[in-house]
Amino acid sequence: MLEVSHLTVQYGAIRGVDDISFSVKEGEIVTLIGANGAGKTSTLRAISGLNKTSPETSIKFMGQEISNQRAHNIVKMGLCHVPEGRRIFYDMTVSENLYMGAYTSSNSAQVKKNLERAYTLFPRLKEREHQLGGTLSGGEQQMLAIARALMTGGKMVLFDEPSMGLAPIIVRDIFSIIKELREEGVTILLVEQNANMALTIADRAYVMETGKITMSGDARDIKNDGNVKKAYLGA
Amino acid sequence: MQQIKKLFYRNGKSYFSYVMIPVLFLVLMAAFQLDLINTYWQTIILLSGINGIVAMSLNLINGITGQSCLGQAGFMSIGAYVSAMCTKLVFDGFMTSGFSSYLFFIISLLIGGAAASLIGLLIGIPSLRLRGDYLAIITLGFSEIIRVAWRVIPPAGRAMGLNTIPKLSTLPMVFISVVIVMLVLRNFTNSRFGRSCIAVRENELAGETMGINTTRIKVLAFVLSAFIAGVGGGLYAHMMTFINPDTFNQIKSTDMVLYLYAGGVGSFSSALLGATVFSFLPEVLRSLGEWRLVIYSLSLVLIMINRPKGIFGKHEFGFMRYGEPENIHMKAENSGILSSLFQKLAYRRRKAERAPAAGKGDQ
Repeated sequence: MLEVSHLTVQYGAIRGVDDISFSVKEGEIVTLIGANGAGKTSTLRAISGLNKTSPETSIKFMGQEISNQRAHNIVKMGLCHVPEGRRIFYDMTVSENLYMGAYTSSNSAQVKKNLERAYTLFPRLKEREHQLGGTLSGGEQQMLAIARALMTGGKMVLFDEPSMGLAPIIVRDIFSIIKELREEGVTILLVEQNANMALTIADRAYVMETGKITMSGDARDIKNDGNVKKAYLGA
Repeated sequence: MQQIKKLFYRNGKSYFSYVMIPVLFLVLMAAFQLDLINTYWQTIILLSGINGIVAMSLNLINGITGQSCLGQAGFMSIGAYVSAMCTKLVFDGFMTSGFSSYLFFIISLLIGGAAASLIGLLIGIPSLRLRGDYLAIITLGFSEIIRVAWRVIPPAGRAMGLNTIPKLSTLPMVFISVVIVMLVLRNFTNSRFGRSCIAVRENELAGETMGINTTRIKVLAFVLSAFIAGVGGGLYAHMMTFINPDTFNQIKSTDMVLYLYAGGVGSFSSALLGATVFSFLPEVLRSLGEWRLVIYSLSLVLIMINRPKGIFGKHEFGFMRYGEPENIHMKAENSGILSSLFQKLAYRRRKAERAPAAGKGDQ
């Protein structure tokens, strides 16, 4: 579904992401793990068009080249991004936030269906429908960010650190929702610092270090790998 | 007041302002026609309406889209000069009867607005790609460039400016313009474009990940704002009957920013009310002589300390309100000086009602 080859992101003289290639098949959860500054977020931002990429980069989404597309066009193709740090609209109510997610859709019946789906996935948001986004708790804000991204009706979701700054019990909720989404047929690329959690729910994993992919394979194998254990899982 | 307001409730919506606006218009009209207000105060009333138009246009950029523009007088001057040149030089021969002169005045205003929005487009496209404060600096520079440009353009009368502009900005013209501008801005803000402007203000990156072409939205808001400011400038020129390049200097731009922020940034009705209050205040204080500016500035400082959201807060009043009804969170966030005063009074009334009952209980 997503085919990334020779992805390079340059920040001035520094290569944030250095010639990496990977792929995500339809219906998979693929996770990208790594330490701080490994280039995980840069990779996601490059895929969704928020970062400029080098000319040799090729990113194919459902067979279409998207590396030169601008962010808003990529969303229209069905690739949506849950940005790092949630980034909800603080001064809008929960329902207005969700309607913003449906910005690209002109089919109001579909928007209504998506809204109902978002509220069934996150009953907590239904309770807080008329509350301002900024008054939600961290976990609720993350739920809102995910629900909002789903409102775009995308076939694939890029998650950027959904567990950041959340209590462990909420992290578990969020991850179970990610699993639920996969069962609905949404393809997921998950970037995480919480490697343990990410590897538990993922099918395949890539490990990034200073801009390069150093290891890839089945999530279970990576979880049991000695080096990964030592570096990220603290065992 | 509450009883009167209740008369205009239909289906849970208040139509109070729909009734009050025509009433206000008729009262002002009668006062103007019967000379109950002298010409000086008539000018101030018209000026506050025009300032309100420009302050509302500024709110579209600063309040709704979250960019910062400091050169609104530049757009005003384009609208003023272009429309004044139209009525004075181009349409002069056509403006024979009352009806045709107003018709061509409206056309001139629209041409002035279009010219301002064209310039807005030209400076908006390159500068709105940037994020942060660049726009403020660029608009600041732009308004100075415009001011200097009028000094060297012969049809604009160079440093002399234009005079003997027909005095066509009468009360109905200004009042109806204010109402139309309010309606246009309300419907724009309530539309898909307006909501994406708010999304850009709240979080530009998140807006992009929702599929909003943020640059396009910012340019659109900027162009619409420039158009309205241009119309405001046109009305100004035809009220003052003379303009020169220095009429639209940096102080004028700063005044507009002041009206908006002292009134309440983020709300069109607050911008209009702020413009009204702060156009009147210096004139009301005129009897104080040189203390006038001291008190004026002091009142601004006090407002900003006590009411950082402006006197009227982020509320939209009356028919300018849109979307979902305000809930308790928004009320807390948006409250201006008036609503908090009403809340205080209501609290005191409730307390006073309760006090005698409690007293009886004690005996």
